[in-house]
Amino acid sequence: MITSYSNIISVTTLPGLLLDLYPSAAAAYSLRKLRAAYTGSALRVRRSSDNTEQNIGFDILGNLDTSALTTFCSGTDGFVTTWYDQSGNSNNATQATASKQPQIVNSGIIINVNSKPCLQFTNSSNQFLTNLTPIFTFTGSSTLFHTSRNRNTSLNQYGSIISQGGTGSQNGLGIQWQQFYSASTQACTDLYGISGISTSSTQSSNTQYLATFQWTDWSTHRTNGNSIIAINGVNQSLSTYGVLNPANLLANPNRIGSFDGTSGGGSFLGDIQEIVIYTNVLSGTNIDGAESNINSYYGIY
Amino acid sequence: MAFINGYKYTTESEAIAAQTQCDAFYGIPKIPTDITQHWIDYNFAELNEPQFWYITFDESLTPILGEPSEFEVITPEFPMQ
Repeated sequence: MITSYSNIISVTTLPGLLLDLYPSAAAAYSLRKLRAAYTGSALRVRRSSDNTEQNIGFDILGNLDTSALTTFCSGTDGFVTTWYDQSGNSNNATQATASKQPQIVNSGIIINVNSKPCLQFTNSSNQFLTNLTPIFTFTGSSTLFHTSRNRNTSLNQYGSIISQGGTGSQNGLGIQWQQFYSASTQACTDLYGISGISTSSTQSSNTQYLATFQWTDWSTHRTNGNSIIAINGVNQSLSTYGVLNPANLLANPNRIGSFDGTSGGGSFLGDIQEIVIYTNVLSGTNIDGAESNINSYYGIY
Repeated sequence: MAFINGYKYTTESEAIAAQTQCDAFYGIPKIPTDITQHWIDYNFAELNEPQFWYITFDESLTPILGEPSEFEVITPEFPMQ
């Protein structure tokens, strides 16, 4: 029996939210609620019928409020103008140009991957979202999780899930999928200029994955054993390339869905559901726990 | 080097004028405080000689900017593993 307001609050508290279990993320973009104390929206959406914009939040279970989204975009397309950062650090990612906004509703139907909503990026239009305050400091360590599906099937293509510092001069971090072995398979990489790490193994294109990165020390991140890339919770053997270390990228923005927002280099053709970034190391137990939390929600593997 | 289907301008002010035409045609921004401020972006072909500005073709632009043309834009090679 509910006898006070405190009882009501406890009834509606959502258990097992990712950032409540594993707090202190530097940035967190998702289509589900990640932190009980977060009171903001998930997205801001522009509908194509009249270009009106509206914030879309969460339902009482912490899912994206698909009812509100469907009502707002009834019979039309919906494009994401803002993907709100749930970490509390206000690293909101925005796109002010309509033709470059990723899509979430197609003719009134919410776009899904594995029955969960996603942001759909099209590389021909170089769609991306920008956060002007760089998240990565390239000192110490970082940990990142992303849930995505790469739909590219052309050889020698690369698509950035999130980047920092990417310009026409080629320097920048790009957390991305690359087709450099074959058109039908892909490797998961980070990149700075001509250096970085990638999985030696390949994964299938057109498949939803959970990718985990951990850089124990950015200055030596290409040294064997100092970085982790895990696919669906399994650590991969890594290849390293190049000789440079990340540096001097601090004044440049993050982009979700593109490496170079100007030339279109590294534009992602695929779908993203969640990106969570920590600027510290998570223990092995916590990484396992976070992966389990993400997989439990998205049903990836 | 990339072949772009789009609209080429010799000055940035010409590109901005084309962008403004598209914004007006589609009613962007709907209200001044919206996140969406433009319908399309223009780019700078800084590695070409002479340099120019361009808008990449989209079907929505035909009623405003007319038929596009194809031209070459020099883009930096992205390093692959």
